[in-house]
Amino acid sequence: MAASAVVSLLWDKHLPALDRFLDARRVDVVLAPQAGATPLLHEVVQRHGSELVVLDGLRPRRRQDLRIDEAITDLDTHLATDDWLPPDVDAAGAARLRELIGNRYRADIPAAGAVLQGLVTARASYDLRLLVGSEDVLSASKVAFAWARARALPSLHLAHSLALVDPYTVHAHLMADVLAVYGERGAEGYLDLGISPDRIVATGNPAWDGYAQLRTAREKVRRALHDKHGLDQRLPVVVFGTTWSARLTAMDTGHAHTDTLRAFLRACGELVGRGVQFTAVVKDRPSNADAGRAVVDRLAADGALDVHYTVDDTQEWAVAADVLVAVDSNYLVEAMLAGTPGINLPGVALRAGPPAFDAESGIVEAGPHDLAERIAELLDDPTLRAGRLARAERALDRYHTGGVDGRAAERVAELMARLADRTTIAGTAAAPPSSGQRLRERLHHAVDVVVGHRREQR
Amino acid sequence: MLPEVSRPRSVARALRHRTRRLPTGARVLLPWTRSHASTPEQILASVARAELTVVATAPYGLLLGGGDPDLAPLAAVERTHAWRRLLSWLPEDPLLAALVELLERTLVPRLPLGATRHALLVLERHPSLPGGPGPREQRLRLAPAAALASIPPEELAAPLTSPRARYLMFTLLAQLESRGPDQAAQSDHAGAVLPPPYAAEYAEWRAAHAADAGATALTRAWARDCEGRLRRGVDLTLAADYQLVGDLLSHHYRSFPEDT
Repeated sequence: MAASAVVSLLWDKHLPALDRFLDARRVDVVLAPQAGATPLLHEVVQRHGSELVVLDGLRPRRRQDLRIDEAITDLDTHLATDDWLPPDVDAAGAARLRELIGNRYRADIPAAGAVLQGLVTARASYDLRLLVGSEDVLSASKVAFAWARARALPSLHLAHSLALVDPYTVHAHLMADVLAVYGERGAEGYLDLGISPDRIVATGNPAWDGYAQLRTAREKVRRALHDKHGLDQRLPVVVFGTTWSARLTAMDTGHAHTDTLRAFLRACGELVGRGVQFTAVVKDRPSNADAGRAVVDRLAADGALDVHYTVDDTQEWAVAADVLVAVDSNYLVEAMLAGTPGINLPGVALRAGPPAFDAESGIVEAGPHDLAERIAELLDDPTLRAGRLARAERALDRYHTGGVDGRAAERVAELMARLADRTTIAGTAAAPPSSGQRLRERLHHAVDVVVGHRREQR
Repeated sequence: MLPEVSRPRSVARALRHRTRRLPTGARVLLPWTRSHASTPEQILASVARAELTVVATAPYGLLLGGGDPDLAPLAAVERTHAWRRLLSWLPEDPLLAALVELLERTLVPRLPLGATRHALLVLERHPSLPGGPGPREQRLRLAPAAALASIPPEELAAPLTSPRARYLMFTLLAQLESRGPDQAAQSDHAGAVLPPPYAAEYAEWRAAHAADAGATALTRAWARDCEGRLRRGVDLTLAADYQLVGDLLSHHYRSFPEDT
């Protein structure tokens, strides 16, 4: 009998879900691409006595060989023709498109092709139960999820963020059979695209289970951060979570990191001018550490403002903050989880679009012109503050299923188990090959907390 | 003002009954709500049969939904979650509310009958001149450019400082443009209603949507006729999509400002 296996394209932050899944289901092998075979994945897999096998390290037999090189040669030949060119492109435009497209697939197909080759090879030796990943749009995972669908291998995309900005261009589709979102709010953009509610399940985010404990230890967390950064304990803390321009939609204004930081620091300057005393913290992404610090130093240089720059302790800062400011960001959902008032700063990083938060979320919206005022009133007006926090508390379940019950990893693991079990049933029953319809029916039965259905019941 | 008449077969009879004693030239106000049983065509026919003339129609309630899908400017968006999120800010955002009030006062009454679920009809007792085909046809035709021209640009400037109000206005304009009989002529008109800085922002916003649509379509289309891209039923070019969209937006559509 072939060894049982699941394919994991999960990011480290989502591995608690795999951990719980392996608690519940005996799986012989976890398959992962080299790029995703992190030390933490090794640790999780070993703890359960399973074996981690690197997909792109598997050697295909001759008849399994996908000959990826030949596909690239075929694409080169096709690209040289004019057949595919849009009608309104001139000679210079055509040359530019050929260069952009050619460079891109020649760079991206080999690595993704190696993962696909690994999947094809693995399928011959293992009893594959499930493909699960933290995204289904990047190079290798998009190909992997397409393969899973073509082979009727159940697949789950555990969203790596709540889609507060409606899914655009590269994000505007669902490759996996099922999408796990953090809360019903995360389904809205996909439902608006016409994706069936039967394919979306609200589970919560395994990476946020820690807020259950963190928010009960607020004072301890604050003291620890105050000590670590030498902050004045008497002053309130205003945290700004940075954003950046991915430039994957033309709605992106292009320089979001600098433009939004400038808006925040200007608001801080205004507050200082009004005599408001507070500690300003810029919480940047680790990947941005050096560049980000330089930008903050440059923008804050001429003011009397003392800004603390950090890339660490994301969740701790959300709990320790008195006000958290961010830009159409999941960090504001974390503020809701942390019980911290949040202010969204829309209209700077992206062109006009649907609001990221509904008014009932308790998240305040501010523009560059009134950000200082919105921060000041949340610091000064206890009634306003309590009202916003109460709203956020009421809305929390829509943004994060289960609120702060700390059980998101468990819910994702249960969903993984249900999806994986259906494979086993179909396999042992020697059923005819799954049609799309059959697969949908199976998934339908496998999924009981379905977003659209819950909404109808209200 | 007449009470609203709901049962369609009796509309003409009820109208005639209630207005028969009125002298020629007398005017009455009829509230109307669109339903399957009372379409714009039906109510206008009933009015004509009752020997009344439609002097004016005043649709209202742009955001209340239930308009004719072919006529309602927001029919394509009003059922989305995104739109409901936007409208949730009405009680919180006075500028958004001010924009809606401005539109209700200026643009909405000039939309064709049926563009909203609700309308008021001004009728005149005029047996010799029943509501003829000319005005009725006019009332059923969408004329967004003329309706838009009724908004004073100076009154738009303040509400549009709210990003939520800008999103509502831009969406409305884009929807009107896409529905106009002459799209090319409409585009000029739609942006022209906005005060200058917002007219420029609207043009960029439209261009951004077009660039997104173009980049996404090209990414999916360029290799479609190349069979060699397939391996075991999987399109290998999917691997390039993510970065390619970004490359196309940056270097082909030039959607972002040059780095300084």
